[in-house]
Amino acid sequence: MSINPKQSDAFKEISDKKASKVKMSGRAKKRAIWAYIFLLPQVVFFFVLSAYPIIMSYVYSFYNWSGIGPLNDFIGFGNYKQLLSHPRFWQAFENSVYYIIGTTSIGVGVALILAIVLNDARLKGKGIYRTIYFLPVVTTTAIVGIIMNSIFGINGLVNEILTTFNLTNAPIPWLTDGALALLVLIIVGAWKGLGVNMVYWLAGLQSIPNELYESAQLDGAGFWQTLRHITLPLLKPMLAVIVLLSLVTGINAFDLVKTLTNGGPYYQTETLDLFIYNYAFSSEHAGGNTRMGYASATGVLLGIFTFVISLIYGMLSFRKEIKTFLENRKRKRGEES
Amino acid sequence: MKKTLWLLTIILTFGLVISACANPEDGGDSSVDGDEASEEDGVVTLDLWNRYPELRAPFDRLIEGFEEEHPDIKINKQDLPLESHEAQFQTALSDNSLPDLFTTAADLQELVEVDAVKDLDEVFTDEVRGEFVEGTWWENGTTLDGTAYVFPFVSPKSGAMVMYYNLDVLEQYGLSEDDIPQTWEEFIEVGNTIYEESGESIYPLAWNNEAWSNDSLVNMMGTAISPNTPWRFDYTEGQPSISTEGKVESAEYLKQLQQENIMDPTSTEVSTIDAEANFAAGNNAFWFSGNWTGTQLYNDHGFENWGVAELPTKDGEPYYYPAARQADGLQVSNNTEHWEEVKVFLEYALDNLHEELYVKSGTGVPAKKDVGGEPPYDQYNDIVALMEELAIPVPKPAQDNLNTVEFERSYNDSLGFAGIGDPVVGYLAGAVDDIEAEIEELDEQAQGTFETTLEEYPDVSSDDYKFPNWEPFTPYTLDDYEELD
Amino acid sequence: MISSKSARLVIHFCLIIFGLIWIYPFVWMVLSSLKTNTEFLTSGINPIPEDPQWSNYTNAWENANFAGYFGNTVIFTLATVCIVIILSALTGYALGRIQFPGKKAVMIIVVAIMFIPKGYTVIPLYKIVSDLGLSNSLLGVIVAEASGAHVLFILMFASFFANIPKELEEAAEIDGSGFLRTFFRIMLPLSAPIVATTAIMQFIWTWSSFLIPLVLTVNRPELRTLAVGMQNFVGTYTADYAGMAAAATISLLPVMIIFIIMQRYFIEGVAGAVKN
Repeated sequence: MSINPKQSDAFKEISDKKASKVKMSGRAKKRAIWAYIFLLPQVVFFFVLSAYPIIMSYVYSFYNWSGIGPLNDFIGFGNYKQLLSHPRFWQAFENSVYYIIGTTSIGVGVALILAIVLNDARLKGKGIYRTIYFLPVVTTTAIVGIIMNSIFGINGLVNEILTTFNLTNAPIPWLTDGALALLVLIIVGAWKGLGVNMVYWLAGLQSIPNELYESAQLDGAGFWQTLRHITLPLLKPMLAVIVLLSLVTGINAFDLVKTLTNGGPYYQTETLDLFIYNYAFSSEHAGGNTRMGYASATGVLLGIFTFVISLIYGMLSFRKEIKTFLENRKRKRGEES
Repeated sequence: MKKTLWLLTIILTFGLVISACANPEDGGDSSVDGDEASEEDGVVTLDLWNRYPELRAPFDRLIEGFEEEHPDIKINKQDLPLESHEAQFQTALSDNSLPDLFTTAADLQELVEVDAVKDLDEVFTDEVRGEFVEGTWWENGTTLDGTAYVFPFVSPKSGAMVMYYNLDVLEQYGLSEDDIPQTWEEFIEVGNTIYEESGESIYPLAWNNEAWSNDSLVNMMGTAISPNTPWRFDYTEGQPSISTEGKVESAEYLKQLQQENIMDPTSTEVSTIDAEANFAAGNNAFWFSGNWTGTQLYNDHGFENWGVAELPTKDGEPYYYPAARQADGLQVSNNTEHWEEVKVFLEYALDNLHEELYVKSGTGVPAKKDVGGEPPYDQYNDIVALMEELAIPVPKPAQDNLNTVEFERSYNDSLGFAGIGDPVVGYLAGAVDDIEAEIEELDEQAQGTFETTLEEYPDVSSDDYKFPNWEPFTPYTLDDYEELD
Repeated sequence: MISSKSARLVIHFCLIIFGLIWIYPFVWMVLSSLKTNTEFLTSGINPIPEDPQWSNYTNAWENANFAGYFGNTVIFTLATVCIVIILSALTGYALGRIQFPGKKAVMIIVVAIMFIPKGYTVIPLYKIVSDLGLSNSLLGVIVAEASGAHVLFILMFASFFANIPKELEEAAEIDGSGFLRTFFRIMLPLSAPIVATTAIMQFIWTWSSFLIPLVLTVNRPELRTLAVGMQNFVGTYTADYAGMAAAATISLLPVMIIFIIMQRYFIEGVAGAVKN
C-alpha cells in the first residue's frame, strides 16, 4: 500500500488520461483525496519501519559481518555460496519442509473434523470445548518445551503408558532420535496450531447459509450426504486460505523448535528459522562467532523459499481459474483475429 | 452480544488512552538520559549488565555492600537472560548504548576495534596486576597489546571437568571413597557393581549429551592419550587437530558406558540442570561436571554428602585442561559518562568482589591471590586444589602474534562447526554410526580450511601455531614465549 | 445436524476424552508450578506436588517482577492492537470503498508485500526506532511491533467495506454527514466483526512476541514483557522451572479470559470476512 513519488506521478498521468475520458465528479475527487489521506499512515509506517530494515537485511547478506562494528568486509555472494554448499543448511531446509507439510496436513485436517463437530448449534458446552482446543495457541512456547519434555522423554508419560501396556519393551527415544524428534515436533506444532485452524474452519462453516442445510434436510439428506454434497464443496475456497496461513506459520517455526529440541541431536531437527537465529545471536551454535551477514543471507533465501512455495501453491489451488482465464484470452484473441 | 462488543470498544479505547498518556513520559524520560535526573540529588547511577546466572545473588550482595560504603553512587544491575544475552549485547553495541559496566561477552579484539571498551590500565597498574594469579593477563582475553581491558573474575586455573560422586549412593551399595575409580576399566567395574546391586534401578553415571559438555569431556579425557592436542590445535605440529586418537577413544568410551547401562538412558535428552538434579537426588552415583557444581549441589539441592575427584582416564594417566580458555570478567563502556565513579566501584571491587562472588558463594576459583572469606561448603577447597592441578597453561598463538585472532575468527567462520561436541551428540543419540570416520572428515576439512585461510592472512603462518619448546603438562610461561623469539 | 441421542453421547464422550488429552499439558503445568524446583526436576511423571509451594507465585509476581511485566504487556499489547486496527481499517476502507486513481497499483503492491523475502530485520529495526528517539521506551516497542504491512487485515477490511450497500452511505451523505463522519459513525461500527478478528489475532501474536520487545528494551529491563521476562528463569547451570511454570500460568490467564469472552466475535468476524 505504498506509493513512492515516481509512482504517484505515474498515477497522475493515468488519472489524467482517465479524466479526459470520464470526467471525475467533484464528489469522486474529494473521495480520492480522502483515500490518499487514509492510506498515508500505513504508507508512512511501512516506509519508515519496515522498508528500511528489510533493505538493510539484504545489504548485510553481502557482507562478512559478525553483527558488531562497521560493515567493511564486502564479500559479494560469498555468504550465499557458502550457504548453498553447507550441508547443515540443506538439512535445515529439509527439516523445514517436513515440518511445514506435517503440521499443515495434520493441523488443517483434524481442525476441520473438530470444527464440523463443534459447529453444531445444539451441542451443549461447545464454548468450553472451543476454549479447551484453543488453549495451546496462546500458551507461552517457552513452557511448552518443558512440558513436552516430561511427556515425550525417556521416562515420560508416553513411554510410561507404552511400557505399562506392554506395547514396547524398551522406552522409545522420542526426543533424541532424529526422525522421531521431528515427528514429535510436528505433533506438538500441530497441537499448538490446531486451535487457530479450528476457528478458521468454524468461520467457514458459519458463512454457509442455513437455508442450504434446511433445504437439504427437506430433501431427506442425512448427515454424511449433507457433509459430502454441501459442506465440503462450499468450504473449498476456505481450504486454500487456511493452508496458506498454515504454511506461512510453519515456515516461521522457531521458538517451538528452540525450546523442544534446540535443533538437536546434531542439527537433525534444526529448522531454517532456528538456523538463522543461531547464526545471528548464538555464537555457540555458529562455529564460535555470531555471523549476522550469514544469517541475513539465510533470511533472504528463506524469503525466496516462502515466495516460491506460495507461488506454486497459488498456481495449484487456482489452476482452474488460471486455465479458464487463459482459455478466455485465447478465445478473445481468436475472435479478434 | 452487544455488551461484549461495547466491552471490547471500551478496553481498546482505554488501552489507547493509557498508551497515549503513558508513553510520552517514557519516551521523554529515556531520551533525556536517565542519569541526569538522578544526578540532581547528587547520586550517580551506574548501569551494570550481568550475564552469569550463577552470579546474580552474589552480585546483589556485593552491590549492597558497595552502596552502603558509597551512598552517592548507585549500581543499577540488570541480569541478562542467558538465551538472549548475545542479541541484547549486539543491539546495545549497534548504537553505543552499552551500560557503564558489563560482564564480558564478545571477542576482546572486536570490541577494542570498535572502541566499545575502556582501557583500564589506570586501575590495573603493574602492582595491581601482580596481585592476580599468574597467567591471568593474557592477550585477547584480559589484555590487548599489553593494555588491560577486563577486570578478571576467575583464575585461569579453573574450568576443568572433574568427577563428582554421591556418597549416599556409594555407601548404600557397600562402596567408599577408597573405591573411587581412576581408570576407565575401574569405572565400568564400579558402575556394574552399582547397577547390579541396585537391581538395575540405579544408573551409575549422570550425563548431559550436549555439544559443549561432550566437547569438553572428550577433549579433556583425550589429553590423557594424545597430550599434544589440548583442545583444537596440536602445538607441536602447528596445525588444527580435530581428530586425535585420544578424542576418538574417549567418544567411543562414552558410547560404551551408554551401551553397558552405566550411563543413565535419560542422558541423551536432559540438560546439565536435570542431570545435576538427578545426581543430587540419588538417582545416579557419578556426575562429570565443572567447578561450578559444588555451589549448585549445596545451594539448589541442599545436598552435602558428596565428594570430588579427577575424571577416570584410559589407563589412569593424567589429563589436563588448557588454562585460561575463557576470560570471565567485567568491562567498562568507552562511552561511560561517569568514569570517576566507575573507578571507585572498580577499586571497591578489587578489594571485595572475588571474596563475595566466588569464595563466599563457592562458585569458582577467584583470579586474585590470597582472597579471604569462608567457603559455604567443605568440598570447596578440594575443587580449588583439583583446578590447580588440572588447568595447565598451554601456548597461545595470540600472545606472540595478534593477527592470529582475526585469522582464527575467519578460519572458524569458514569452517562452520565449533568442535566435535555436536558429532558426539549425534553419536550418542544414534545418528552417527562411525564417530572416527565422522571426525576424521571434519579434521580434513579443518586442515584444508586452515591452509586456505592462511593464504588470505600473510601475517600469519603455521609457525605461529608451533611451539617446539612446549612440553604438555608443563605450564607454558611468558619466559617460554620469549625464549622462542 | 446430528439428531440421535446416542450419537450425541458418543460425540460428547470423544470430545471429553480428546479434550482431556489436549489439556493434560496445562494441568501438568499448573500442578508443577506448585512444586519445589528439585521436585520438579526429579519427580518424573507424577504431576501432584507433595507440598504445594504457593510461594512460587508470589516469587514470580514480586521478586521476578512479573507484576511490572504484566502491566507492560497489557499496555504494549493493547496499544499495538489499536494501532494495527486503525492502520488496517483506514487502508482497507480506502482500498475497498473508494475509487481513486492508482488503486489497482496499490492493491497489487499490498499483495506483493506479503511475499517480499525478509531477511533478519531486528537489528536495523532497532536502529531506526532509536534514530527516531524512541528506543528504550514503551512507545518504541509498540511502534516497532505495529510496523510491517498487515496485509491479511487490510484485505479483510477492504473486502468487508466493499460489500456494504451503497445506499447506506448515500443516505448518510444526504443527511449531511461528511466523509469522516460517515466513516467513523457508520462504517467503522459496522465492521465490528473484522475489528474483533483483527484485535484477537494481533493480540495473540503480540502477547507472546519475543525478539522485538527484548531487543527494544535493552537498557530498560523494567519495560520488558511477560514473554521476555520468562527467559530470566533459565541459566546454563541453573533454572527455576517451577517458577517458570508459575509465571507461564499467570501469563496464560488473561488471554484465556479474552478468548472465552470474545470467541464468538472472533469466529463471526472471520466468517464475515470469508463470506465477502
